[in-house]
Amino acid sequence: MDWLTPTDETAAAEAIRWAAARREPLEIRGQGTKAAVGTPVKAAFGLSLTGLRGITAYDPAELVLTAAAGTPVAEIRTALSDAGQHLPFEPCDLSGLLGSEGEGTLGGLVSAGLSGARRPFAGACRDHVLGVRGIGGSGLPFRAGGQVVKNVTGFDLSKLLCGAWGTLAVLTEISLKVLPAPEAQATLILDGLEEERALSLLRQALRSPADVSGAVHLSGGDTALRLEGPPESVRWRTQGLRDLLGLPCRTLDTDASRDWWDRWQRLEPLQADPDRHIWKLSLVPTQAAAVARLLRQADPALRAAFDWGGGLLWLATSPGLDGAHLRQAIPPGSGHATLIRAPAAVRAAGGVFPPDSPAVTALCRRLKDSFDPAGLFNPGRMA
Amino acid sequence: MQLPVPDPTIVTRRREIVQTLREIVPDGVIAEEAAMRVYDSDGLSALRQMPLVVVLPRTTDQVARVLSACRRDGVNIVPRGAGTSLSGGSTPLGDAVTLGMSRFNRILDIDLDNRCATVQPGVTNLAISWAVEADGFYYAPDPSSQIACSIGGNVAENAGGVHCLKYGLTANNLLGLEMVLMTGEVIRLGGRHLDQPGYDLMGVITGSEGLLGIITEVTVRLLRRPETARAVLMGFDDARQAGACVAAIIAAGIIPAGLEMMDGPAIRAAEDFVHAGYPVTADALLICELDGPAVEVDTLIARVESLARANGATTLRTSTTEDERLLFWAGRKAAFPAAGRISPDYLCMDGTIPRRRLPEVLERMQGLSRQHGLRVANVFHAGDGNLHPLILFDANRPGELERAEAFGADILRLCVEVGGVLTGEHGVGLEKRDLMPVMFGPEDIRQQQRIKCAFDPDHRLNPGKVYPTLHRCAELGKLHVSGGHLPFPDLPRF
Ligand SMILES: Cc1cc2nc3c(=O)[nH]c(=O)nc-3n(C[C@H](O)[C@H](O)[C@H](O)COP(=O)(O)OP(=O)(O)OC[C@H]3O[C@@H](n4cnc5c(N)ncnc54)[C@H](O)[C@@H]3O)c2cc1C
Repeated sequence: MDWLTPTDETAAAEAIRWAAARREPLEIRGQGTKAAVGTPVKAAFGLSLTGLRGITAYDPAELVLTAAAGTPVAEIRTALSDAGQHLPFEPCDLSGLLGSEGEGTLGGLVSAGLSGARRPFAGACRDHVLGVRGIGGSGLPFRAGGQVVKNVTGFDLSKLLCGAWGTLAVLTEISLKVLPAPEAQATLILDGLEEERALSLLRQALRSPADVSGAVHLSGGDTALRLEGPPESVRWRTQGLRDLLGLPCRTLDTDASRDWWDRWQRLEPLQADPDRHIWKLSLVPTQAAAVARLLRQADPALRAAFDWGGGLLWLATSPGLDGAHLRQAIPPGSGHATLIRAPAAVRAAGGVFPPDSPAVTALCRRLKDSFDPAGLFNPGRMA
Repeated sequence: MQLPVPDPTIVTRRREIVQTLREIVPDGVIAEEAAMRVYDSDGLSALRQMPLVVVLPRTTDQVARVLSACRRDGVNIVPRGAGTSLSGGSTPLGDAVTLGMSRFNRILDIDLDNRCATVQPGVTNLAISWAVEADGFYYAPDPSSQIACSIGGNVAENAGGVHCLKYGLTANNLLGLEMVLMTGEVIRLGGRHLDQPGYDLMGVITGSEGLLGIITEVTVRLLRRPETARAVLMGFDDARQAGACVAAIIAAGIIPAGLEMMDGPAIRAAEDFVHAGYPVTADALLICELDGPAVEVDTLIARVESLARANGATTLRTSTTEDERLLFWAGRKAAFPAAGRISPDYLCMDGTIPRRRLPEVLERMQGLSRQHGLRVANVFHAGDGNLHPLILFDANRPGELERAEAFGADILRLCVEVGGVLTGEHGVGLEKRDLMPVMFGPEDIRQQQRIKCAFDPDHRLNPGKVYPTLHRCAELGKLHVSGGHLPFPDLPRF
């Protein structure tokens, strides 16, 4: 593959106009850390955004950070933590699962729409994208949204581009809403709970006033509940939650708690066997345990990890368990499954993303055409 | 602001259009002038226009049939919830059917285990919180109009409220939608689960001001009501100090449940009206509300108080009872009617600015006030930089409405100039439509309009709202490539 590596938006737009004139499809990339997700793209040319780099505006008191799309996520994390702030949506880091180096770029993070454990409480990646600059398939730059935390002017194109895996437009700059990082945290760990019981406890905690900001159950392992805030508040709520659960549990204080969630953010519990396929299921929380149980009948070696109090189910499955079968385990209207890791040949056969209704599929095709009429960007990646 | 002239070819077909609608919704067509009058404006009451006809469907199927018929017959539609839009989003058009969603008024499902509720779009914002109050839950976004506005209208406007810095706008609290497209197709997006993969259609529909389809069902997330809430009331002799105090609170890592500012004229108007005990000589007032467990609230209150002192607050009171907290809020919540008491009419503006530019913006707004010869009172969602200048005028005096509109437009231009936006929560509608080019370039607007084309290629839904000029979709869809030569001998390759 031949790579075009512009170092600013003008050059990126020029490269796209060149491709548009030749109807030459382009693979759009940051650092390529998530290139192994999605249906493999067939393109002779690639457009790399790593040359568009750097934080262009960040005033912590405004709660807004703007950076070029090719800025490494690590650079953004450092700038935020230096100011005592963070990305509230706690994006998970897929590099351990995918065997890639580093967390990639901001553009990649937003295009993949990655969120993590705090998502049900603080919002998703898309909830924190305030505005973007991008380039459509005819090579014309445009901007959408704004650089302030509250804005409803015009259609919210930023949300459409978040999670579009680079198939609609090439992002060149992104503005994010950021927040102060909590001062303290604690995690309650319960050991050896059976799945159904663990999930019901997580739901009970989430219904309580404890203000939980992380609710995970690793099948056959830890059940973890995180509390964040000022130290006095964390201490008080931890005690309240222990009383509510009424079960023996360990409390991890701030540092140990952070370590636990850092490991979870890198999805370490799923990394053991590199040959397994990794699936990400978004589910109605009360149905998660039943879905896992059903799938275990077909794949007894299945490894399951529940986040979001059951709303998110990560599965490491045996390669023999096929996607259609897996999706049948989800009751209609109760969730979706996305294939996050599998060999290219498996992904090339389709079915990485869940199927939609004919009306939604047709609408999405029209939206794709509206940004990228010649189908230049990452063709087939979301097919 | 001029309303478009109704298309006479549609108006002459009125009888036949009414008949078609009666066949679809036999008991829900309003065509008599007297009965239609309640629909002749929305919250932007300076603009009045009789609709062609009003239809009030009861079912999704009826909505789908109305849309299909309108598409077939070439008739435009103005979707309407409770009609409280402040930007003219639901202002009728003389040649369009007003499609009212008020009969979609049922709460369909409350699921506390999954912490969500599914409701029809005509249910009011506050009714959702009422339905779950006894269980200790609520629906977070709280526009001041929450007793009246519909959840469907909230989705269409991406409504906010005083608590949205901490708890988000409508978009951030929405889990699922059912929508009827102009094709008559019914789509379902999201549900009781989070983050449907694929393009975020729900994201772009939220805040689309009735231009993309008719929302017929909404699933929202419910939050546990915080154990306690207390508020700190701070008065400052100089608005700059108040601005600095807001920045200091956020820099200290505190995200209050609400952080509101009022300027001198707003303080005095509100105090005269509700006697909340506001310091009437102050130049700026802040109300900072903290919520959560009592220990947390106490800790944060102490920090906010010390920041207030450090920034020169001349009044500093903290609520010790729930009644007192509500009293602090009473003045802020009554700011609009209070403006109505000191002036026959007022226009409520809604720009957002980067917070650090506040002192400068307030100062320049005073200059504009002198220039246009009209008074202005400011209330401000200070935490998120969302300004609500209330421009005071008298519509009975010739030329004052026009001057008020011109003043408003200048304020919004100023917001954009300092790095902000035209609207933080009220929407573009008709009111700010012609200002869109101030904030967006031609290609920015074209790309938004291409989205419209993907949903509604004939521009049947709410035409003339949000976008200043309609482009034919066929024209917008063309792939224009200028150049096309190999541009990058100079582009690095690897
Ligand atoms: C006194 C007052 C205070 C206010 N305070 C706030 C505030 O604090 N924060 C805030 O954000 N707003 C506020 N508003 C503005 C207004 O209440 C909101 O914009 C609200 O969301 C409008 O809801 P509605 O049901 O009245 O919608 P309408 O005014 O009927 O419609 C608003 C828009 O939504 C579209 N629409 C309505 N229903 C549907 C549907 N089912 N499907 C598709 N499109 C639809 C309409 O076409 C229109 O474009 C206030 C208004 C008033 C009068």
